[in-house]
Amino acid sequence: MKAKPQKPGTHRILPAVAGYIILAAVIVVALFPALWMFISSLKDASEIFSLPPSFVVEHPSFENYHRVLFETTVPRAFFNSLLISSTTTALVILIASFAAYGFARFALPGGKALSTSLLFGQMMPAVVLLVPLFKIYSAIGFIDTYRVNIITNLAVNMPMAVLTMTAFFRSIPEEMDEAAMIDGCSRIGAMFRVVMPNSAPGLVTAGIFAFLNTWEEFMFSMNFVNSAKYKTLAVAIKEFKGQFIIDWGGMMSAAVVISFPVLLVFLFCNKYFIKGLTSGSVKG
Amino acid sequence: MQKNLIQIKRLKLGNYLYILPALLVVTLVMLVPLIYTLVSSLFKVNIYNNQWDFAGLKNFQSIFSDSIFVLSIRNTITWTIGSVVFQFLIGFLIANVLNMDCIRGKSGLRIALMVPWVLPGVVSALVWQWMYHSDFGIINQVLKDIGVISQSVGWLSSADTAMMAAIIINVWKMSPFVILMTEAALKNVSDDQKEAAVIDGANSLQVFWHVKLPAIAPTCNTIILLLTIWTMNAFTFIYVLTEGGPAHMTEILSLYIYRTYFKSYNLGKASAASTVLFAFTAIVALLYNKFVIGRDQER
Repeated sequence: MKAKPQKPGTHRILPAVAGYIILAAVIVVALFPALWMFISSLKDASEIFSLPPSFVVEHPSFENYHRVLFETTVPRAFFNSLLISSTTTALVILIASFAAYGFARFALPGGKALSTSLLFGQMMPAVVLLVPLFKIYSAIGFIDTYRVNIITNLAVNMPMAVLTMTAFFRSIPEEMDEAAMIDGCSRIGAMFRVVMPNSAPGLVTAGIFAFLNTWEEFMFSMNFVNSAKYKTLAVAIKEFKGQFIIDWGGMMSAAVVISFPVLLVFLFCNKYFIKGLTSGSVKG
Repeated sequence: MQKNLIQIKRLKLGNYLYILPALLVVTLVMLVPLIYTLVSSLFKVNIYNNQWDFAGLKNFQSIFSDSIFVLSIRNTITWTIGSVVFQFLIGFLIANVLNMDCIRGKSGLRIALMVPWVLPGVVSALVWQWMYHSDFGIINQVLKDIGVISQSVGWLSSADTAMMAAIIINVWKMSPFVILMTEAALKNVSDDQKEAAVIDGANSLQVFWHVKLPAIAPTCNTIILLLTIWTMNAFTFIYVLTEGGPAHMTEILSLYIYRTYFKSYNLGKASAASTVLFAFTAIVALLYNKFVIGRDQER
């Protein structure tokens, strides 16, 4: 991109100042809840219920975190969420790679209709699936297991992963597969050794979305799992809400614990988020 | 010739095996339940002894004569239109500000603006609930300090404000998505066209109206349709915030479905309501198909 000559004069500075002021105000609003969550998590029981609520923590304390880590189901739920999210992500990538390769490389009659129906699958209202899935899972003994969350999230994240990866696989020239196959690779070998490594950004994008969607999935998990043994983080955090009392301090520290990995992934991989949103995934 | 031969050779049934696992997962977990819902909406089901009696359209009659169902449709419309209009307008405006040539540090600004969208939905709902707290909430405090209100308001517990409070959170969460998508589209508007318009004497408003807006209009359609589908089917936010209360004032269709089955154990009615929600979604999805996918194929 060539640099544009800057014209002198105030009429260029004024819009810039106005723009920065608007953006600064918006960023304050955008970031404030996350900041308030962190501030509140450091306030002890007496400070969190003091009036007026203050922006400054008088006596920062980690007692909320201590309680969350040693007296609640949050650590177990963290492990569960990690296990469920990573398993789901690995399976999504594996299964979606095959499907994307099929769509990208073979002229399958009806393939166009199938990939369009995947797009519609992506728009399926989750709550419409909730009741029948609950009935089906109850009948086959899936309620209160790890696999119930894994298989549900697997399906819910599959359409977008397939669509994203198909777009990436299509951009790899077919000659590369053929060259690999002449060199003795099988077709599947060519897929794993040539097409997938060359579409790494696509795999990462699909993987991040699958992981984070599963990490924060709430509705299915809340209804399909009852015991603390299999509970995920997004559901466990609601336990700070008792019948009459809400442990706000504990809840805010648990919220920080849930959000931390998400923000970390986002900070390091933000370009994949942007790619995933603005490329194939939402447009089909 | 050779190309055709390759095509024929590839037309093997075995090639379907590549897409089979994905299709199987989606069929079992999405298509089968959908059919189950559509079918069970026509039956009166006793969930204790699992006895199914064909009921025709009785479940639909029953929900449409249920005043709470009618209210939940109204709530869904308020929630969806209120959210999408403000999500889009605010996001669109900020995207245009962010796109100005004179703004520096765009990638950093973009990351900061994306945070509400990235935070897990449950976390956002709980943090905002804490901020809205009628006694210890920071929002009441700030509004009192600047003199907007004189007494604390129970934003989520009062029937007049609960829906608005929920919409505000939804706008806060999803505007970043609009910003990102719109800004990406604005970046792709060709510099040549903009410069040509400027040389022809267009001011910046005219450049926006005649060059930029037509170029990004298709993206805007996509954004609006996707936001509509997502908002219409949202569950987590409102469930965590209010569980549909107070007095069903925030009970949108998805929460009505949830309550009808998991609290009242009425499968037929829940399925009928699900069918209605599915029909609404299908209409928007078909619009999406017509305007977005059709357009991509023309290109």
